[in-house]
Amino acid sequence: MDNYYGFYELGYIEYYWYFLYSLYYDFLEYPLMVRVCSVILTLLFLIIPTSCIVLVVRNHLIQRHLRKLEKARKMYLETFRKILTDENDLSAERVREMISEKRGKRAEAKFTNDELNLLTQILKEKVQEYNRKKINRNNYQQILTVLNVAGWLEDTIEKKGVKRCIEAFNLAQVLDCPLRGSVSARFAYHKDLHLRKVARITYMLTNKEDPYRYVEGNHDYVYMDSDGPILHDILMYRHDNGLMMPNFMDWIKLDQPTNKLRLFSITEILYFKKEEEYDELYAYMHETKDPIVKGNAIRVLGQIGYRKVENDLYDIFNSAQGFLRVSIIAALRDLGVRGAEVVDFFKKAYAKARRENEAMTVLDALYNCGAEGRLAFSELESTAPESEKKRFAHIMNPITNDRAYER
Amino acid sequence: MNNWLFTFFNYFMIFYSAGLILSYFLMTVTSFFQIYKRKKYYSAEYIKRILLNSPTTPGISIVAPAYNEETTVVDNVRSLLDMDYPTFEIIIINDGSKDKTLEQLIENFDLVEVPYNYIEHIKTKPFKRLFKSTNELYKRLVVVDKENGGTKADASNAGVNVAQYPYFVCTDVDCLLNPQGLYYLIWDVLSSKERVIAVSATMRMANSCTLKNGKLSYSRPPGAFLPMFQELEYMRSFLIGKTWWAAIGGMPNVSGGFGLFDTDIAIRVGGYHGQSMAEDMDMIARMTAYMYHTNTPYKVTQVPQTVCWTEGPSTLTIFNRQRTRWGRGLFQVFHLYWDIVFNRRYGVYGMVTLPYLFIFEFLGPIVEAVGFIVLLCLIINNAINWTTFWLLLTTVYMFMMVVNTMCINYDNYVERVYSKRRWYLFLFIPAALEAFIYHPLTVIFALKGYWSYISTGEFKWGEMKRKGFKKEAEATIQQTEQGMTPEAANDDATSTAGEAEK
Repeated sequence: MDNYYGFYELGYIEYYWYFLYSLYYDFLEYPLMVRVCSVILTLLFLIIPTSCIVLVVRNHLIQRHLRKLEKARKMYLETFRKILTDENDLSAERVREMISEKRGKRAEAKFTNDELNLLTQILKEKVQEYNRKKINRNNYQQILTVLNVAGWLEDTIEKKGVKRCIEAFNLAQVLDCPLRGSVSARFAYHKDLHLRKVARITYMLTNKEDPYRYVEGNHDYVYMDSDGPILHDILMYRHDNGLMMPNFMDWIKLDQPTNKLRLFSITEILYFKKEEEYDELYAYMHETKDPIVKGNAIRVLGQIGYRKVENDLYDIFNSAQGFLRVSIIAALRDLGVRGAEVVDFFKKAYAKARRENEAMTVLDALYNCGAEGRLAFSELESTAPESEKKRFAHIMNPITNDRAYER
Repeated sequence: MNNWLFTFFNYFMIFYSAGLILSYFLMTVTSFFQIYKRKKYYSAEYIKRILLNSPTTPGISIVAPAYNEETTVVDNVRSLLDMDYPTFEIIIINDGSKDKTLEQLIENFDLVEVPYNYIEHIKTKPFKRLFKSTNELYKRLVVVDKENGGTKADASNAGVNVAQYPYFVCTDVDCLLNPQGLYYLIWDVLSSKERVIAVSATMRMANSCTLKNGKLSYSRPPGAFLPMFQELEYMRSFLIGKTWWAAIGGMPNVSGGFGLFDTDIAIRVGGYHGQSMAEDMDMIARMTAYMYHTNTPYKVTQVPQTVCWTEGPSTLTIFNRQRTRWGRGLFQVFHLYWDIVFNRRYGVYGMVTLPYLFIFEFLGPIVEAVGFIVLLCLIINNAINWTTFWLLLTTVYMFMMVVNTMCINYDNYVERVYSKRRWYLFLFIPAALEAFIYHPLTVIFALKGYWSYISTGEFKWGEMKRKGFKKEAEATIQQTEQGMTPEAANDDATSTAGEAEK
């Protein structure tokens, strides 16, 4: 009875405290293992339903986004196609009208973030489908102006977190959307390395004054293999739009811990046919002592048909080894040098060849060295031992001979 | 003595289980941050765009051995040829097939025998001839005909000898590759400061998926009993296990079904071990050892995106054969590379990866079997505290459920692979049943594999028979004939995996 009155006098809160204490002291009486397991088990029971809910909600949100995107596609895809493929340059007003027709709102009404999210996604798909060159650039720029994509992206970059910032910079690159230089420059020294990198890249894409300052003027820039495709993409865009291109020889001469940037720059000289840099490349080929860089420079000079290099190649060959020798032979072949002298040189090179790829390159060069070369090739074939015959057959077959041995 | 032994056993089991649970917990948490970090920076379409147009994008050789694959080889090669990548070649190695695999290839791809200067960088069974296509459409296809070497390793080595690009992907000819998968792999190689010697990518079961023109048109988890569990097992292995190992720099293996390797390093270490039963683990062991010997910083990475779909064993006999072989392979690897285990010279690989694998992967089935026998004895002698027993059992079971649930969530987070949302919820069925049905089978077959290695030391792969994938139209027609509506048939159309050994 006393107990009853005792409990009765307790308030609800005190009673719950009492109940929890009793549970706690009961719990302490169990062995340690049981206690640990009970705690873990309780947590696990909570995690599983939470995890299921996350899965379902996430999928639902994705599905909702996809539905919205599909709806937006139906509304705008055809309009964008018309604008982008129209050969005539359309005015901003006309583009605005065409878009607002489908939108069902006043032409002046601002686009919401949600709308811009969907519209830029559709635009991105279209740009990728038409692969930049096939679209009317003027009309494309008008779409970007009407939607105010640059302003929207700049807002996102300035107000959102690192992840959204990176996404916005990437989107600006994919859409070739010119952002203000100051926006990119603000993040060019950000503590997050990826954000820093992507900001610098975006800066390079559209800046007109000093676009390459983060490569040329920065001592902390270290070239990575993934930079090659990114830089190339930017350079292609700038090249197609008549924007200032870099002097690749300046990039080659930059102080870098590895030769990767040099090799990339040499490739780009060939790709963009930078004739004004051929002489400098030729001079650099003499200066450099690195066989890989030298070999690549020689190959490029051969491929661009730089005849001045021919006599130097014979001299370099005598002291060269491995990859450099292969490069010299390939360059002489690409230069299209003909005559007894070069055929004789190839024959000697074949006799000296110690590696399979070197021998194959020499044979290929000989086979493509006019009538005299073919004759010498046949002579070598007739005197070659049985084990080497397959080399000749390989070279002569146009399906097999893909020059993979030169790599 | 008996008392002492029993106490030791009790403590051993407690610490062993606690260690295993703790490692799974660490893996699950770490792998989430890894996946999150990857997703944060570059989108797939951005990577594709910049790699597609670049002259510096490295080429990739896809090496796929084929042995008695006449039913599937043509479709699969067509699917491989449809890969979306600027520079690649497909190398099919006809490993002395006894059926019409080679004839099928010659007939369907306009192949002609060409004189080829075959250089044997890696020793293999004799090379016979090489075929290339006269048709411009199939110019990327190379078919190597060689004598049967008895193992996939030998055939793959012949493919590596012919590979002309700096990286090669080793896969099975029955695998379906994600057309854009190569971009993910090569981006890992390019964006690393260290030299990337191998890249692993997530694989899945294609058993219940539908194909259209050699591509997946409808994807879902396998409906069949065994592949359903394997799907979950693969997801856990790739998204949690391998992601963790890649993060700490101690990847134990890159799956034999699909993986990218540095051609130069692979040749330097002598390629795959011709007599290996676990050629994937063996290759990584040697490549890692080589990198440590030459003091070259290296990396083996894991791509969380699904890049490869393969047929999983759908019958118990084939599953038994596969897992027994894996058991033998694991034993063989420890037999061959025991000197690396707990060897400081091999860094994380020697001090963490191999010891962990030895303690928890290799000894796991043995410990489980012993534990089960002891449990039976205790039950017979009525020496069990049932409250504690059920509590411990439920805790371990629920923990694995959580790991599986997290894994399903990670997969959904990386990218939605299945055609319908409900298939993710479907995966909770194998997650709940795995511990009672699937896991005991894997333990039994692993033990069988160990015993087989000890008793016979036999290194044969065994013959494989495939039915091949069913194509969309075929599956629909067949199910309509069975009384299903075309819609239902389409929804559930399956490309039933044949009796296929992985």
